[in-house]
Amino acid sequence: MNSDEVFQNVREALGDVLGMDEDEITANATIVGELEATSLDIVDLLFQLKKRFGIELTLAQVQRELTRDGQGDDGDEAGGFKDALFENVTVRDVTDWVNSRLPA
Amino acid sequence: MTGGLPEMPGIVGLGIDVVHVTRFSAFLRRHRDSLGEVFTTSEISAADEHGSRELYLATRWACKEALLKALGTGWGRGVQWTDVEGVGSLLAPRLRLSGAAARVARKLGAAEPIASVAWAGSNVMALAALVASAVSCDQGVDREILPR
Repeated sequence: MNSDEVFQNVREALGDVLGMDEDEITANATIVGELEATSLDIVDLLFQLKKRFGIELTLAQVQRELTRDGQGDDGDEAGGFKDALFENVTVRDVTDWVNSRLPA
Repeated sequence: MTGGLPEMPGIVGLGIDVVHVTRFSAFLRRHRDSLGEVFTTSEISAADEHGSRELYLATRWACKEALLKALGTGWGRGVQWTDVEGVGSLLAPRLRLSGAAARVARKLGAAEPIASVAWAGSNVMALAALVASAVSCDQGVDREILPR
């Protein structure tokens, strides 16, 4: 599967989860900010990606690898909710992450 | 006085969440095999024994979300949904913390969390509060804030 196909699959999964038309889902859209996904939507999406692409993932792993500050700080910093790590993740970020998990 | 938000002395964290049960039920149906990532074994067992599995898990999910907001981390900084386990009553559950959630709560100086749930139609709402565990003084009167 090439990168465009991965992107299309991610868009389809997001459209399914969020009840949106795929045309409204652009590569640079932030999943939480612009697409207004809730935490439940994010988990739903990740589980769907797991099935669609046959990739093994745990939520803890995704949190570490995909989010901006996910360096396994084990909650040492009780940051404000505005610092929630998934807020700035874009559709492109998710696509790139899926690509990195697929066999070469 | 130790800890607490400026407007609510003694409250070190507060969170709220609303879950649409129908939406949540669709999630449960799609991902039956992955529920162990967000619910503990005990929660899943208790849900299987409850009259309405969907309502039970939707309620527990709302509590987890509310607590993660009260911690100030959301799903982030190592905190996972399974770090928060709802036990007992659906409407006034105890929330047991473990892992990163417990560490964050300790750093905030919080005692055991307090949670309250309400159902309205097809929506479930949960409120979670973290109360300071330290002894506080108020106008010269020593007042110990007791955990639940």
